[in-house]
Formats: sequence, C-alpha cells, structure tokens
Amino acid sequence: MSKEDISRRQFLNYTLTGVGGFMAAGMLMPMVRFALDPILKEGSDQKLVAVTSIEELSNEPKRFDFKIKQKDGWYESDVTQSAWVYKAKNGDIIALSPICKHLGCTVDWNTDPSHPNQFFCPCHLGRYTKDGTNVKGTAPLAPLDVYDSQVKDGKLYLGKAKPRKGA
Amino acid sequence: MRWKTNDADVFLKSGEYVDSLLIPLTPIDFKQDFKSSVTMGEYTEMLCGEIERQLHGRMFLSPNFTYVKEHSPIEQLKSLLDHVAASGHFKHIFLMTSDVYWKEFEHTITGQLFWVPALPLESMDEKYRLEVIKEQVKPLFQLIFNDWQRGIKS
Repeated sequence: MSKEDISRRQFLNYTLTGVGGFMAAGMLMPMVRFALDPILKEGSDQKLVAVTSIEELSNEPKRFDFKIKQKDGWYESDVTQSAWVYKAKNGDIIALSPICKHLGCTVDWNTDPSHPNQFFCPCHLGRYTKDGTNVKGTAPLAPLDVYDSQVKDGKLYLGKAKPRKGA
Repeated sequence: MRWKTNDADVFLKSGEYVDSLLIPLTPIDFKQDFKSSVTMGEYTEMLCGEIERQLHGRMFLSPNFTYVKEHSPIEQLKSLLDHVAASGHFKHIFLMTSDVYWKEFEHTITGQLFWVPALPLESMDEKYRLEVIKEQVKPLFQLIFNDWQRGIKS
C-alpha cells in the first residue's frame, strides 16, 4: 500500500474544498448570468423583421412602417421605423431609410413639384435621387441609409439600416 | 430636436439650420378639471412628438409650458416669448395646445397657435392611435411649411 501517502486530514480537506466550491459556484452562476444576461445577448445582430409581402411592391417607392425592439442595455422598447421600398429595374428590392442625412428629418417621395421623382426633405430642401444618392448642391452630404433586406416565402424582411459612402 | 444634451450639442454646432421652436402649452389642474387637463397634456405631447420626429432637423421641441389657469398665464407666456425673441435663435415659433383658454389670445402672441381639441385616445389600440395622430398632424405640417415658405420670400 505504498500509494496511500495521503493522510486522512488531507483527503477531507480536498473533498470539502471541492464540494464547497461546487456549491458556491452553483449558487453564484445563476446570479451572475441573471445580472449579465441583457449585455451578453446584445452582441447578437438585430433580427430581421417582416415588413410586407413582395406583391405590394412596385417601381414606385412606397412607405412602410414597422416596429423593432430596441435594446438600450437593460431597457427594451418598441420603436417605430419607416422604410421607402421599391423594385429596381433589375428586379432587386431596395429599402431606404427615410432619415435625412443632414439633420435627421423624415424625407418624403415626390413631394417637391419642381423636382419630381426624388426624395425630398422639407426642412432644408435636401433632395435625393430614387436610389437614395444625395443631389449635389443640396443640404445633405451623404446618401440615404440602406436596410439589410431579405426575401423569404414571398415576404420582405428588413434588418438594420446601414450607411453608405458619400457621392 | 428635443430638450436633451445630445441634441443641444448639435444645436450649438448647426444652430443656423434649426430656426423653429415648438412650445407645448399644457394646463395643470389637481382640482375639478384634473382628468381633462391630463388628457390635454397627453394629447398635446403626442402631436408634438410626431411633429418633432418628422422635422427633427429644423424644429426644436421646447419643454412644456405648464400653467395653472387661474393665475392668468398669458403674461408669463408673453415674457417667455420675449425671452425667445431676444435669444435670436428662432424665426418661426409655434405653440401647440388643446386648451381653449389660449384661443382668445391667438392674435396677441408672437407665434402661430395650433389649437387642437384633445381626442380620447386611451381607449384605442396602439396601431389605430398612431394612425389618428398621423392624420391629425398632417394639416399642421401644411401650416408649418407655409410659414417656412413665407420666411424664404420675405
């Protein structure tokens, strides 16, 4: 029995530390997870939201409102967002954010009689062409943001609005 | 823009683009008109919120101007408007209220008064409520744009 060079005292010490450690971990883990959960989840990309069925889309930009859940740390709220959606000539679906890149007003389609078929911002007369490119010489300095979009089962899903490079 | 530090920073930087001020006028009453004053305040707030959302870059939404009706708040409002005029920031001033008290002063105050009677929205479901608010502010946008147009011509 040369292997038995561990004393009774040591054996008890090891087992008690081990079992005690497990118990402490068992108690602390749920608490830590509970406290950190919203932060850990936030890293995941924003989910795509169903906005409309693609049959409703045409070549003319149409405005759709939809709700997303916005997370601000622990606080979660519903935020209404809008998108201008249309079908491009090659069949691609384009979804533009209506937030003017100048100071954040909401742009409208085709409301300026002297410049038809453009997005128009009523605040400082900013204009964008149909593909969202800012018209040079007007207030905005960047094109409208574009939503991540995806078509599944005849429905259009939109994700995050992403900025593009200036014209 | 709202009464927030972030918006204030933008305002300080690009103040020349923000030339319009929207002041909600909301009564405070804890006596017999308690409920109706709450309804008015809520409704005014929703209308102002929608206008601010759409015209974020040119319209500054001021904090509520609150008052007790018996204290004849018209003088206080006038001194506020004098202060605003003296600051020189705003060319277009709009006042939004559901309280009929202000209607008689419409022409004595410097600023355009929007008097919109409050609707009982609390019983509607949310989607319908948004729809109603959008419809309600549409004509107001027209009035605001007209005012802006006049500013360009003059």
